Amino acid sequence: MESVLSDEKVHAPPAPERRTRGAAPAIAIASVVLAIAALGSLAIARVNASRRAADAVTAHAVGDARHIEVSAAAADALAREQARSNGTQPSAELRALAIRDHVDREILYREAQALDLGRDDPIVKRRLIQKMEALIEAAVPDDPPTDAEVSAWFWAHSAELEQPTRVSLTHVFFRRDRIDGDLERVAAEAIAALEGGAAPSSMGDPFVRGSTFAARNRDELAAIFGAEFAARVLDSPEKKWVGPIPSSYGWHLVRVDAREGARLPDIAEVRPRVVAALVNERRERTRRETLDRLRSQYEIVTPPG
Amino acid sequence: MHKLTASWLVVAALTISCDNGGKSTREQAPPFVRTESREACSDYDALKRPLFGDLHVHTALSFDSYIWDNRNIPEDAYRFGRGEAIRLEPLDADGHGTRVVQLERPLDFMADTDHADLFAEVQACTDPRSRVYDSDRCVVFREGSTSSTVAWGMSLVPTAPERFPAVCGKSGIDCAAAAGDVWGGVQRAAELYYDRTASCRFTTFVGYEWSGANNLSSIHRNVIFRNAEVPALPITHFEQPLPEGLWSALEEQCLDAGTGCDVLAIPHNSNLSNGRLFSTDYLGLTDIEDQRSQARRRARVEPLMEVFQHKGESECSTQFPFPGLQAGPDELCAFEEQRPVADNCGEGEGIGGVIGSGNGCVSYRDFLRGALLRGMAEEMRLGVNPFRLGVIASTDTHNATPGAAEEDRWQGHSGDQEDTPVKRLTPASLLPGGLANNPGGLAGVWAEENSRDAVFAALARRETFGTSGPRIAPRFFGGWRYGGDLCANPDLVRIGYRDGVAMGGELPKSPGGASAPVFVAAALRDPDLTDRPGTPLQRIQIVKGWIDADGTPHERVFDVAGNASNGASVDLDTCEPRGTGYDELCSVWSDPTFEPSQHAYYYARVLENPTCRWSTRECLALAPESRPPACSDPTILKTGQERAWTSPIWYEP
Repeated sequence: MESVLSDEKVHAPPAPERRTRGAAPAIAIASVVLAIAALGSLAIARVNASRRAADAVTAHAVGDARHIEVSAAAADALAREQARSNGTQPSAELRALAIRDHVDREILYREAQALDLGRDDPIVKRRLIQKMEALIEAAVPDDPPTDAEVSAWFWAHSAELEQPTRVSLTHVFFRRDRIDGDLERVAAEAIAALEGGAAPSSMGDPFVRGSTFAARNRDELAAIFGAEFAARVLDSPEKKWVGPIPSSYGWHLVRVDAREGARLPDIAEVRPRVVAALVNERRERTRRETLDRLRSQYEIVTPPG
Repeated sequence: MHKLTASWLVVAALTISCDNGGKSTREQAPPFVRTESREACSDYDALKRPLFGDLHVHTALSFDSYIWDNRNIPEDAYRFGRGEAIRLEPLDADGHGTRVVQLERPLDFMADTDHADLFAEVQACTDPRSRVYDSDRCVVFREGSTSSTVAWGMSLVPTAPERFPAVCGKSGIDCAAAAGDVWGGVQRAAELYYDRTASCRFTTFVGYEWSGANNLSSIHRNVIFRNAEVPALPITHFEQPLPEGLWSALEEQCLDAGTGCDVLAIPHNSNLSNGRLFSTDYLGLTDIEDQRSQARRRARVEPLMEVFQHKGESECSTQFPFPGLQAGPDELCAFEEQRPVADNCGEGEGIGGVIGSGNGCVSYRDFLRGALLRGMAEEMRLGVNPFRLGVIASTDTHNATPGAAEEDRWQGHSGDQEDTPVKRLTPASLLPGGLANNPGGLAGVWAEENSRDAVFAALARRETFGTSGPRIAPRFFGGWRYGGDLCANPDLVRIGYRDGVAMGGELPKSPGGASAPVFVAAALRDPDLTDRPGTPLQRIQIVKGWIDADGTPHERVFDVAGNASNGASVDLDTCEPRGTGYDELCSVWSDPTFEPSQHAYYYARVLENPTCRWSTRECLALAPESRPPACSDPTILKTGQERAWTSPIWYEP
């Protein structure tokens, strides 16, 4: 049985041997005796522990750590905080009390350090790790990336910066059931009328999401008309009515009014994004390098496999 | 359109492009005011586009989201909303999420709306450098138990609320300063992800949630700011414990502050409010002028309500009609109805709706239809309608997953409370949740372009709609002289605006000789993506509610397009859809019950063919021996008809 108060192990008395029948009362008595003996051991352990606690009242911090100085500036800061919390300037008595509390906290902190109480505390460990990470972070150079760096990153990542093809278009919509007769013929006649000058808004059926769209890429067109329409239209020739093109709703005649092919934007257009990426990379690199340097100065043993 | 950078050029260009073929007598001014400088959008349509978004999003800045182990912050929510993958808890040993999630399609707009009430407290308890990090309050918070959710949530109940003394008191931290820091971070995240280039791909709004739970009733509002001009601190339940105080403070610190600030607040979950969210007790004030003033303020700050989200629908109920209403039950209101069995509040109010069924009561006022009727009754009494409510929907995700409203890949919205199929399929005990919840829906607006000013202006004028998840695009116009053949006219939308009003508006005065208003309702279904076809539409309905001169309420649902008896169904063993439907619908409908002396509202509801509910899909995906009891519970609806709701159009005699 291990006492929670000290490192001393209190051993329980050995278990009684088996007795034959008729010895039950004897066992019962023996059990009680053993119980008392066990309690007695506990009592001894507790006395030992309180003696330990009494010993612990002696300071473990040594040397300079036992010197605490509260500067005038620190005392003023404490008083200001009191004023902010309480809404009024503290009296001399309250000031003294605050200083004493501050000193007491500092003493306990130094004692805790001397006793290494933080060693197995996961909360303390995590906080210290975070403080180290903050130190490393603070060491990252914060001068903005140069034009050369921006340019280099831009060209290295041109594939992901490329903007997909976008089209602007006008369309005429025909409901599925409105086409009586041969679809191709009806479409051809309608296209002829449009090329002859008929206004698109005078033909076909109403399409309540709109009749012209500007600078939409494939996904955006799919979100309006369906995936098949978007695929077909992306490659349509410019300034020419084509159709019938099917959509999720029916048939369309489409005129691509403008197309912006897949293009790389100007550096100026995407500079903020590039700068953000560079700063991030720099931060990551600094962190990695710092850890590599530190690791090289440690001896690490890990399990095999 | 050329890329224009100077804002005066933008205004000039706008004026030119405003000419949509005929002067609109109602709108001499430009369609919306530009309050910020940015590049002009290359895609601009004066006849407006449908944009889809989410205006109810929580991240790890919210106390409950953090407790439920979500560690995704606003930046992650914005990245998810614009189409990138993020990771959800459970967290591995390094604190990274182990589930990867991504939207099928990015959203057009969104707002991060964390519980601002407890910004400082969450910050204090999660930053190891904070003075109170090791306090009991914070240690228990980080342990992430239900008791923390309850304890922190309960701080939002009293009408004389106090912040936790251990955190914000004398030996704590400066909570106002901490809240200010968090609020600054919220603003920076919104700015970082707002696309101010001509692509106009993604619009973000600065926002937060006011989370008062007075009388254990859900009376929350999401506060959405138009632009980057916002108050120094969010106005939360601790500063303004009553909604009336929130509205006044928003007027003072934003709407009337002369700083260019503009704001609106969107209440949600009226279905859990025990009759309180849309109450008309005006703080007990009896003077008519005081009541008018309250009603006006409310109408000014809250033009919208969130009619559908994770915790159910608030459109209508099968059990709690407006008192005296002569109308048969609308079976379609059983869709995601959270509390079909509860006490009826009657004209009164109850306590306890937020903490699960069996508590509190349900009121006719907890639903859009009842609130709209009540609003018109107030109009008749006061001359002001406090509940002229446009509608949106959203998710209320607490995983930083805006727009994750798809039924076939739902990962839950409440962190570790809903992160496995079994948890999602278990009825909740304390807080509403589990099986009765759903993936939520989307906010929709009709706006000229995808920019803050254009989208916010659409919200403010109620040209909005909500969906239960799919990207249905509904149009709704009301007027007096639409021709019966308008659905065959390619110019329908232009004529719709020219000769009437769009959703959210009020019918113009009837020209002499018109016998009844005419409405145009049209919709396009969700289109087919490469790997996922959209579901066909079944029909469009117009819901009309009206009050006659002696105060008797009426309600009727009209089928105006499509076919209710198309026999569409779902194979429950595979979730394969059966039967046909419509890719798009359109109808011109004249009101056969119109009486010029009666206040009325009309809104359109678009229904898809039936599809499997998320719970049915989850059950099918599990091996039979692993299916929880819910999978064989006959009272759980196995299918549903996903839908869209438009904002109403009002008629005033």
